[in-house]
Amino acid sequence: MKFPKLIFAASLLLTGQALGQAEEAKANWQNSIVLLDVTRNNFNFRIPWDKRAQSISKFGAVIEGKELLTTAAGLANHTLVRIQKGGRGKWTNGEVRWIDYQANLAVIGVEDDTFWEGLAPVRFTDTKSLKENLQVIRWRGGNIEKRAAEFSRFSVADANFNQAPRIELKASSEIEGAGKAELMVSKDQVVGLVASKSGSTCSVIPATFITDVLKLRKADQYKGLGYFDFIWQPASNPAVTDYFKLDGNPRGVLVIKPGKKSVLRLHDIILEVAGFPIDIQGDYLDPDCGHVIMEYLACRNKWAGDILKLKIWRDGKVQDIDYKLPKADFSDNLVMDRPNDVEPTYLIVGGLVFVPLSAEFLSSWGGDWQRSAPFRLVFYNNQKAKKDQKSLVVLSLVLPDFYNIGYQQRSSQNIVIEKANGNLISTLEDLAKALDKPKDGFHILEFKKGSSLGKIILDAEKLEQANDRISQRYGIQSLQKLK
Amino acid sequence: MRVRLLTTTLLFTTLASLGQAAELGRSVVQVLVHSQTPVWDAPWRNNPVAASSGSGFVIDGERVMTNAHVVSWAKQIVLRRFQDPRPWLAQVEHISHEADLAVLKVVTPGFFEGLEPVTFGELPNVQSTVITCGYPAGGEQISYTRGVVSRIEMQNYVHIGNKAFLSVQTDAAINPGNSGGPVFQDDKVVGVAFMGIPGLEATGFFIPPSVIDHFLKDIEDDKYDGFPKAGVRIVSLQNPAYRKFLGLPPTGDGARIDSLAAYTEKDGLLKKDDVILEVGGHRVGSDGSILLHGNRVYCTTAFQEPQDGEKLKLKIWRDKKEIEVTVPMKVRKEEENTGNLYDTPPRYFVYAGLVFTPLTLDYVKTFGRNWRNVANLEMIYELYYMRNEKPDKLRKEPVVLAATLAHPANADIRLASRAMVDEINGKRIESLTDLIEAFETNDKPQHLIKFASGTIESLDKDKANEAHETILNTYGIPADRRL
Repeated sequence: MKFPKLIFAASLLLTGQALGQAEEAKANWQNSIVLLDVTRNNFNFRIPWDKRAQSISKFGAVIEGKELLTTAAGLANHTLVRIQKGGRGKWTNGEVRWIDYQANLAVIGVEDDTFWEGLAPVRFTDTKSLKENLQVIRWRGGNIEKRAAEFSRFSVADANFNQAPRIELKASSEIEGAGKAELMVSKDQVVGLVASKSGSTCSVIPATFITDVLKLRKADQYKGLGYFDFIWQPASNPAVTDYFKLDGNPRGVLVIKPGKKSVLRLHDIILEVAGFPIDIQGDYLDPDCGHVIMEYLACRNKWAGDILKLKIWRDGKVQDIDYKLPKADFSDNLVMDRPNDVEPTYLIVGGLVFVPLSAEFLSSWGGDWQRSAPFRLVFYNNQKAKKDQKSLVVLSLVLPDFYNIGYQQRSSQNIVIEKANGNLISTLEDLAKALDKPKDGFHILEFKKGSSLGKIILDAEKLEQANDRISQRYGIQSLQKLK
Repeated sequence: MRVRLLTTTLLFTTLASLGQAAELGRSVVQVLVHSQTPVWDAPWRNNPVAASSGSGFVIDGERVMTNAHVVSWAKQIVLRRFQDPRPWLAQVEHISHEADLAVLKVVTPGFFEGLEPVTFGELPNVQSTVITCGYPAGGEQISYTRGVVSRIEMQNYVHIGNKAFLSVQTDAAINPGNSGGPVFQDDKVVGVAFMGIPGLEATGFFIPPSVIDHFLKDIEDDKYDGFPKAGVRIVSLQNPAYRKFLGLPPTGDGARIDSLAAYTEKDGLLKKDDVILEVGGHRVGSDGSILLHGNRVYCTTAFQEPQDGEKLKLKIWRDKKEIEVTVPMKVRKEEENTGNLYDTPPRYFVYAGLVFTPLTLDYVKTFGRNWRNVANLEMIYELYYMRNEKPDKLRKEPVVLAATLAHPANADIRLASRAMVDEINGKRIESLTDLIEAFETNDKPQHLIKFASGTIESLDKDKANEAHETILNTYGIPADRRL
């Protein structure tokens, strides 16, 4: 019984090898994928003056126009980008020519024309249905490594911290440590770039999305990703749709928090987006991706500022409305999403370290920041900005000095400042300005109601002396870094 | 030679103490309890009956003192006397869950024959020897262990969970079963053994005489009121600039009131930035401590000395002069839901299979040990932060949807549990009574439930009313409400 099985297995192997050779003849991946070595400043937003150099290895795909495409991850605050072709030998300097962190894509150029000799651009697939014979390609130990992958599904992922959606292809593979812009290929075409890997599942930025972005960039028409700035819930409970007197079968989703920029209103029921009927779970049937969440329609060849046609149920009747996709820019959130590639800002006053309450600051507690960061700071992410206080400043740390004795305990950390010398504080600049005007020789710092410490008083006359001492003692070059 | 003599003397003294304790051990009893705790997310149900044991001791007035946690949720309390196999039925006469103390009366006549009540002593000194006495796990007979007083300070009392009182730490073994047993010094009781810290060896805690005295005095009128609360947060005042700002010398006594509870603010007797120089005759240090029997302990212990309704004298530095303020001290129940609740079964209302119950610490603990990570942010904010930050928006009794008991009438409700209720049929829900009224007075065909997250759900009123009794029968719920 064992004998026939062995023969069968051997023949399968032979067939596999033959197929592999045929594909390799079509696509010489070694000429289309390069190694990138990125040196960057890795800032610790809790010790914001501290610059720590970090080296990151990733991959780049050769694209038309003598450029390289990679993912944007790991490129923020880069100081040097070096490129190696052929998996070995000489390193060449490169420059980031275009980057969009929301789309998680970056284009890198190389001035030295000789670098491009022998390199050939990849061919991106133009169809989402290419799901067979998937392989992950990368350099490893000076050789091209190919590992099989199996298509799983398309899903929509939030980009980083904020809410901008992106479509991702999910594929499982045994390849170790992937997620550094390796190529996901099928035969001789690139299906996408591997953006991350969790367990055995690779998340891949699909080629169709990449080519759309590259085309717009080439035409200088790329406007960035848009997103739905409202929050909805499934309308799966017929009693809810009955309450709003929706005609016919339950369908669509219910808007429960309209965005401040959108034309949608509380309790509108969204029935169709861009001509696609939305089901009671908030999914629609995409011709390429199957059933996916309606958020994808905010980025399915649509960009910030584009108009989406919505069919909604409002005031007891169906209405057609034009929804203008807002740009996925969250810098005006109460917990601001700071632009990338900008050094962290801070202000140190008599050893008290003030920083903006930002997504990056909260993320410094790690990937699990929503649980591990102080609850009260996390909860600000649920709260809306006010007219007179559009962002917040946190006293994050106290550098001990006798000047600040009495404020060095844990209760003086991670509290949000409300006022300084009577002035409302939204930004570090507000704070710096307020400190120019002490009151009767004192700086009076008041913290938000409910903070673990309500008030701090500093001696204004002795501040400069204390600052000099603290700067020297803790080896801090500059006690402030403002915008 | 001198050293040896000293050693002999010490040994003799200790032996004499143990001998006294052994004699006094006759007044120490074993407390055998069968208890049953409620299921907080299915509040009409109880957990299986559990058997446990603790210790107690005879006090004057033919009563037995033990810990509250020994007799909480008791269905039956049986006492065993020293070297006496007979069971004696007892019941709780008064209980203080915050101080973890209880007084029992014995139902079976004749229990106190031949038993002498203990007499209470003073707070023991640090380093002095004490003997714990009780019926710890690991044997049937009474057990004596000797140790020294390691330190005396404010400790969070874990039985209630949200209050700190004075506590004495000792290295005498305090194990499960010791709870409620007396701690002797010479022939007097100087504490009631009550807790240890898991993982820490030779660290046991006992309740000091001041807390015991307060409880006994409180129940002299046959009614337990509790420990009053000042509703102030006192912080250290050690920064020279802050002291100068308030017109005080750079070093010296006095701690600062940093914030006030809403009720204290309303009373208007104490103010922010008041410096407490003296409380109840105790001088307050700049770190907020007072000197108590040679130990520096946090001054909140002095605020716990008066009984409910008694007045507390404070010396305060306000507006650059010393004044005397007399504060009527009151027991406050406002924060009960942030501590563990006992002996009163949870309130609830079940309507058409939707189980509503008040938001309490006991309820959120049903989510498991990591309840803080599991509970949604709105619940944690409402429970712990709303009171201080937005007292005007604080709900008297926040209500949660604890569970949905499946039935066709509610099967379409997606948000089936663990959600805080905001409004029902347009009425803001301040309490369980509000919620019942909102359901019972609705004249529309659907009930509309809005949760704190913004999600809304609905029930068809006729179908819900029709299913209501059936669901109660199906799930064995004896009554649709307990108020």
